[in-house]
Amino acid sequence: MLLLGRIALALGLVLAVAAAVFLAYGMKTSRRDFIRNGYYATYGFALATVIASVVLLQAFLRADLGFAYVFENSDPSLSTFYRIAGFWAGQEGSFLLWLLMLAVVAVVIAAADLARLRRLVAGAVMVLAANVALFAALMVLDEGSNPFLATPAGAGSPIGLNPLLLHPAMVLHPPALFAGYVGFAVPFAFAVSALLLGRADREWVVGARRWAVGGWLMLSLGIGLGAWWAYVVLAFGGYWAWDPVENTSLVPWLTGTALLHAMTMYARRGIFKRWALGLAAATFWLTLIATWTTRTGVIQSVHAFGQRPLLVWFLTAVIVGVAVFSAVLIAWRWRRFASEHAFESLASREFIYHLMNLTFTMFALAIGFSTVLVPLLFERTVGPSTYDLFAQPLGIATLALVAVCPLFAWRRTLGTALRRSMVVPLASAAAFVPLWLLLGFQSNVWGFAGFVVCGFAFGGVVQFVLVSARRAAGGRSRAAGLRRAFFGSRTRSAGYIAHLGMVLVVAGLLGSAVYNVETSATVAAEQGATVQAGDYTLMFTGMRSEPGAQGSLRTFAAFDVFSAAGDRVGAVEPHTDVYPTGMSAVRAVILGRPFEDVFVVTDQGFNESSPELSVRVVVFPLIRWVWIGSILLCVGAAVSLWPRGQQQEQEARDAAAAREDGRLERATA
Amino acid sequence: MRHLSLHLVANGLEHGGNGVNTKARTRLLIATGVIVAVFVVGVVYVVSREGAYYRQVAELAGGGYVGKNVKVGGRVLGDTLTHDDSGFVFDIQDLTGQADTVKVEYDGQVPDTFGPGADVVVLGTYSESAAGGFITASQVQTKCPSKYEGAGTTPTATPAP
Repeated sequence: MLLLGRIALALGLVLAVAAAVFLAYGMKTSRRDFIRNGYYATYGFALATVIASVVLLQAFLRADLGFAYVFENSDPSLSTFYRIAGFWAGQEGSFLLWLLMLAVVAVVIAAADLARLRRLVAGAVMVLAANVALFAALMVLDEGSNPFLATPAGAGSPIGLNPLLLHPAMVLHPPALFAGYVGFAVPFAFAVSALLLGRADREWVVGARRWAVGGWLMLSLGIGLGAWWAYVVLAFGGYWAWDPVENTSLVPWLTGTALLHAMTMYARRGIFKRWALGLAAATFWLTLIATWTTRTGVIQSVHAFGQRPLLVWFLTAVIVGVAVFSAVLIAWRWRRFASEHAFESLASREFIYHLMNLTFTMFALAIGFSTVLVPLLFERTVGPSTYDLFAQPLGIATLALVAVCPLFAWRRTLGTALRRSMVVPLASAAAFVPLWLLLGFQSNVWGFAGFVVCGFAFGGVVQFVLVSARRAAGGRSRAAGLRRAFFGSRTRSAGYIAHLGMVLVVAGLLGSAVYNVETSATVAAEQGATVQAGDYTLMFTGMRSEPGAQGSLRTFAAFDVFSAAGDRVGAVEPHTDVYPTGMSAVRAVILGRPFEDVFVVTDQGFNESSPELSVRVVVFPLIRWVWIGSILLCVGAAVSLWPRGQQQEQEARDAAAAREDGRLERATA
Repeated sequence: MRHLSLHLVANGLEHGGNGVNTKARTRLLIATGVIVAVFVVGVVYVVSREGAYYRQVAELAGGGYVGKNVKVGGRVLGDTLTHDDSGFVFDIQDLTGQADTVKVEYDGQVPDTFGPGADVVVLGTYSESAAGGFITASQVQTKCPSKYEGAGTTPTATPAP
């Protein structure tokens, strides 16, 4: 079986190289037979990676400890769910999963084009095949990246999956991130193809956009799951630690968000072409940086990683190569990818989008620079407070742009129109003020200003819907217009939902980061002992133990929670899992209240005979808005992905939307 | 047809240097330049003010870091670890194979994985006294027991008390 896996990997490598070569030649010379053969080779390497993955998967399902990788990441006592999760619990399997996803994406794109054999698509598949070849080569050459090695003799008992990772969110978090990274490989592939062919039309964007949205959706999901896992399992009293590994997944998300907007503008209006190319290249490149950072351990991190020279050199060479290649290509075609419309005025929606691109890029640069370059170049490091200093103004600026965007018309905005469209957002900002006051947010000036911007942005989203409804209504009723505004264009309704999600996320981040109240106390393990935490009082009521998962012993410490008014609002039972290996993990519990979470964790493990408990209680206002908002962001992306028939239909819609926008311009001008 | 003519007009404007559009473009470039400049100055200022030197334990003594923010990784020496009302005091040993140690004083919460033998990353201000160097820590992190590690490292474990 190990041999079969190794053969499949090697075969995948050879076929991927063959596909890339065939497709490159076919694309260059317009030889359709070469493109077709390139596509067949694509089927070949996809099949090879599927075989390799099935071999590894069955090894995990059977808990075949002859596989060194299974030995290190699983043990026979695990349930089927966590046995499967072992597949991507380590670097070797993660690379294979990544390879599999890339190959599947390449084959889906190739299969859809098998009847047409377009040069542009062939070029894109070529880039994906080259990508597959590079990673397959790494896995074949670097021992530490190959999941098909035998367990050395006398290795003892299996190491098993780390107990902290025994959580559904942690099982899904890595594949979601990888899927996100793979999704963003597609716009890069199409952009490279369009650049090589000098095709400045819309076709590459149309071909790549849905993959980009899918990648963005998965990356959002992956980051969200990671944050949620950190909140409930790592239990350090937060959900985001500005750890290098977290940061390097956030950075491509930021440029990817800008990329989605630039691609929409490119497809609809023929503007921001260079932004779209640059962001497509940058986002893909940043996913490589994320891999490089996490896999090579170059940056000191709370995540523990091994260091291997071959891996470091290989990934470094790929990163430098991709950067130089993309920069040269874009410079070469710079003039050809000029905007189709001249820029007319700073008081235009184009300028808002331009600012949005800038803000997201700067946000990404600030975090990327501090995470990767500051440690490497200056041998210094910055902490969470520094990242907060970047994130707070830039986050609020982003939201302010969402807020003001609908106030501006395309091309140029008249003062009277601007004043008229300010009414709804301003009213919304004003309407939210009593709520913020009620929640006590006036205690921090900057936080409060942020909340006012949130209210304004909420009004901005409403205004967006109203404007499109008025435009879509034409002569018909307002209700018909509203219906058309929502259901007429998926991209647009996706925008409403995602922007609403963004408002909630930022409000939740502000509330939970700026206004949280943390209390640490040692409490005697006696009935009736209390801890005062913010407005809440926790009263200890007892301990109990029960057998937990994987042979662990789970001990609960029960508390009743009382509000400031003295009402009992709930009970919490933070607990400790002690595993047979001697490892222990504390688990936080969260009591949800309408506007805040009461997060309770013990700082040390305990058992039933512990005389006292060190309890930490954090009250997080509005934190649930972060999760709800994240879900809305993902729903927004899913809406725009929903199948809508033929590609031509989409192109027609884009053209119609462009015409509609044109009408509006004349109306407002 | 309409689209095509628009296209031509736009190109004509862009290359022909129509007065209004050149002015708008100049404004766009100036606005972008100002924003980027403010951003760069802000980032450089913040990083230079907030940054901590990331060093090995062995590099601290006599390295001119007294009074500076440092971030060091090290292994907690179990027999030096004390914990009372004023916080934790412990020595950490260099991770690069040197015998050097540095004392850490920390008044805050530690993760569950913290304990004797744990690999930690300490952030704080470095000082030197007659008894040797010490770090007044503002943050102590244990290395996350992620499974994405290479050969030779094992997850840090704390026996339950």
